[in-house]
Amino acid sequence: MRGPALGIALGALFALLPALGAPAPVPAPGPQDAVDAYGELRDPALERRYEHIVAQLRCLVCQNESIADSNVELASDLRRQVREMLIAGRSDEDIFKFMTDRYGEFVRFSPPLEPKTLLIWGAPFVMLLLGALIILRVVRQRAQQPLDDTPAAGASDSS
Amino acid sequence: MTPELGEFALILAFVLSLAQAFFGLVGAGRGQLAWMSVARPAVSGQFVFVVMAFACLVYSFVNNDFSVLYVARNSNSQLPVFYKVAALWGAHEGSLLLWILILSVWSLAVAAFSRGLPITFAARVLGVMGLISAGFMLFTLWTSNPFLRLVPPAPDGADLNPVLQDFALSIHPPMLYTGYVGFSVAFAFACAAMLEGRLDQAWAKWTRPWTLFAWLFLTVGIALGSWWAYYELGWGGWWFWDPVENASFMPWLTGTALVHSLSVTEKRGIFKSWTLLLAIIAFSLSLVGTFLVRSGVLVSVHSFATDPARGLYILAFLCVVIGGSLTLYAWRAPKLYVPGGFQLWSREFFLLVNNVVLVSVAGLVLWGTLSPLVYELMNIGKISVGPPVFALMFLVPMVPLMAFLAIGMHAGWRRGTLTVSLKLLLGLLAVGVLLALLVQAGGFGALHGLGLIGLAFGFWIMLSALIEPVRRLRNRQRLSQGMLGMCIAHLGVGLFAIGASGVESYKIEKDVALKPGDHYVAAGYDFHFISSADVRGPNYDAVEATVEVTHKGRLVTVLKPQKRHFWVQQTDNSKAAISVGWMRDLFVAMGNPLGNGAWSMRVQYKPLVRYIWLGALVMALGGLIAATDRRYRLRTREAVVPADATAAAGTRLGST
Amino acid sequence: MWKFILPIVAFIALAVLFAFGLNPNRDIHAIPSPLIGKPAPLFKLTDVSDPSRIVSNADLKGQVYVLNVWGTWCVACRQEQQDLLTIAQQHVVPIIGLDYMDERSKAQQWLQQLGNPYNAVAFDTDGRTAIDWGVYGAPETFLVDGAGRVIYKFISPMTQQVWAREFLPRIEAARKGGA
Repeated sequence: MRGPALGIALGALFALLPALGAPAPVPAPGPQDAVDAYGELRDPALERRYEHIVAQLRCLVCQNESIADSNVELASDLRRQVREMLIAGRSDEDIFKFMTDRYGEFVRFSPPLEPKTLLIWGAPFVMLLLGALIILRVVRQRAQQPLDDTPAAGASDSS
Repeated sequence: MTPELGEFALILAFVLSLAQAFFGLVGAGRGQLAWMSVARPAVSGQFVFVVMAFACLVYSFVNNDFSVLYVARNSNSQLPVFYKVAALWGAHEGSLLLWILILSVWSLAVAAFSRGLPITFAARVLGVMGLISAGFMLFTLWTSNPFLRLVPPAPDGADLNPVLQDFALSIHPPMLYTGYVGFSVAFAFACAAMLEGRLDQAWAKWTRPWTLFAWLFLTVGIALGSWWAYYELGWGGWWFWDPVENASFMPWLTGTALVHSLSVTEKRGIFKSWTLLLAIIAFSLSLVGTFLVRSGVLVSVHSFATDPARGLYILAFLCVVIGGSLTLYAWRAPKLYVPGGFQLWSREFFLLVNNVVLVSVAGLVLWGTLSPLVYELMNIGKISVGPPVFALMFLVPMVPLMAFLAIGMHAGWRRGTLTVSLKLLLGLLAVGVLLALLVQAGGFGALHGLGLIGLAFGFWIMLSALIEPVRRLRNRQRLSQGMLGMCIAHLGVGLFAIGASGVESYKIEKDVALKPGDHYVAAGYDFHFISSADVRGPNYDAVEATVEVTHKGRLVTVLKPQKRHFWVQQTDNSKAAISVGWMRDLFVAMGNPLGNGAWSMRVQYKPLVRYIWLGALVMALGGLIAATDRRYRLRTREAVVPADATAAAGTRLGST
Repeated sequence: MWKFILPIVAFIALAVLFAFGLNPNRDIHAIPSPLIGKPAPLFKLTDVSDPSRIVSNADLKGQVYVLNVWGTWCVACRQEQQDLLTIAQQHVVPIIGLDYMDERSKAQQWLQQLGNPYNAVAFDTDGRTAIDWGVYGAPETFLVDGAGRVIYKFISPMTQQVWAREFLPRIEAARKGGA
């Protein structure tokens, strides 16, 4: 339920380059070992989804950090939870629902795009429109006034 | 004795600021020269006592006087002296005293440099500042007294929060407050103009340098805060859209708009009500910020200890100051309209766009910060507005503004003609795009849409800002400080845009589990965790990891992050190790121990991140250069000084 | 003309908003629990003192009970311990403890030193149960009715006043409601 607006914003802030180097030599291979020795997901697509999801979940202890940024135990427990659900093949939506079922809407870092939050997501565009209208109005008004080519008076002129 | 002395000094200062306010404002209203002349000495007196009060508190801190409650709560005998002083403004009560000190310094400066101004006007300015001082002093004495005693005295203090024990901490609040409080000068100038019933081009010229100074300090203060958060908080982020950060950003945005609007009013005598409103709003937002941080209304990592009773006082104060000034505005502003034409694509047009965009962004940020509160009030539910929303609110208006900036710098007054050819500007845009592509492809190996725009516009703005200085240098023409300052400030904007776009588009942040001997590679840099060892600091124990970083086989640096445990507060704090470079930062911070010497670490690659703060500093430098332009200097006396009280009375409301 | 009145009107709206925000009954940290009215998550964990014993809320089906989440790392939990002991002595409902993010030995020591108000204490080894209950900070206390539904969640150290004001009436209502 995310709109393109969210996509742009996320793209601006959170688009990450796939790691430019290959992870260093890794120990014991295991067929179901989806997580490497560093604790990261082996599958780059999964890792990317992981990073995207944890950046979108709020750490409820600190409340203004995402669980990606927070150092507290709850955050690392929840990160582990997200990883496990990704490995189990759950969709992004499922994972978000898991979290909101337990912690409520507040755990989402941004409000989901729905009618009641349009006031927030739509605000920038409304402002853009309003701003353009104001500018238009002032410009039209001023264009019709004399240009006053006399040098600007330094002393006072009353209102 | 010392704390009591300090409190007494503050009380005296309070009485003097009341005198300053009363005699300044009422004296001006009645045209009483004798009364008005009390204002300046009152300022000096108030300043002396405020310094005394502040010195008394510093004394208590440095001498480990734990019989003072505030000292016991925020300091510790093992704290290095430097931080004992800085601890003074580490919590609510002391930071208020800092605010009061800075306000009295600004007041003193205004009193000293306002001798060229008409007496009634100056008296009113000082009177308004006196009101504000009195308000803050009353607040401190009544609800937030830093001089309260602790009986029996504590054996030792509770220590300063480890996160705050840092050099940038010592400077960040004073810089920030100098900015916030400095806007009170423009505010006072605005109130004086409204009380007088007139506002003219001379007024704009008087107000501008004060505003520029306040603005540049605020810029530095915010940049310091961002830089500090980046390396101290261990997350590597530089902006979180935290309510308190937003509280400092909104005055900055409106302050920037004010600085620009003032130039239109100074030059053409138009946009008077815009400028007036901006002067009111910039300081009002500073006060609103004060409210948000100290009242407990919003959750923030930055908030001071919260207390709704204090919040109530500040709210009442806001109603008096902001409500009063905006009521004055509603009354006086309609008469200020001056017809003055300008065409599309003229400088006035560009500055109008600038005004509208900056105020819009400030409004959006305010809405984003307060909407959770609004939704809660209306019972729509508990929503959360996080960084992605704010990013949208910031970028949607700002990206177009960047293009307007690159062109608008060269717009002529009144007519839609540019002082440089459009072809040149478009050519520079092409160069900007090329540079951006080079940086992206060459530096990072991949293109990124929004990052491309940010980089291209950033380069374009920088190149555009250099046209005029280069041209004048070439033709051996004079370059005024005003123009030089403007160019440098805009150069800073471009730098900032490059830094922000670069880091946000290409940063790599990974949380990895590493045991000694492990390698982790990010962006071509090999991070080799070698070992960890126990170390001891002045008031903490720590585990220090040694991480060797190599690039294509060559050693780049050895990073030593620490996980510190502070003895007194029994808390842990992660101290990141950063390798600073012109093109990138490399960042390692320790997370939690995983057993057997293994640690979870946060490894980061941050390209171009330094330009964020360098850009801000360059902006501030531009502001400083512009503020000290000859035309603002004290010696210039273009304003007529009334010789006696009758004349002073004549400049009152009668002229409307 | 209206555009000059707009700023003061906007400020008045802001001031009203702030006045509301100052209401002392607001808890800015409180996050409404989505579990209210929903079935309580089932757990089957080991007893903190005896790893061979199982503690599960499935056994409590049909009873109204209280689940108190705590940890030895939690300073506020220490605060509520005294009040919990007094409440436990009234034997109104079973009080089950959920110890999480903790170490068994520390928890055992704690219960010995400070007293044990719980009928049983479940040890959440990996924190999953806490996540299922939407726990984000201790102490948190849940009230579950006989049908196994979560009817109330209280965040903050428990006190006798809160018990009397919030829990007792709800317990009575739940019992009357038939369970």
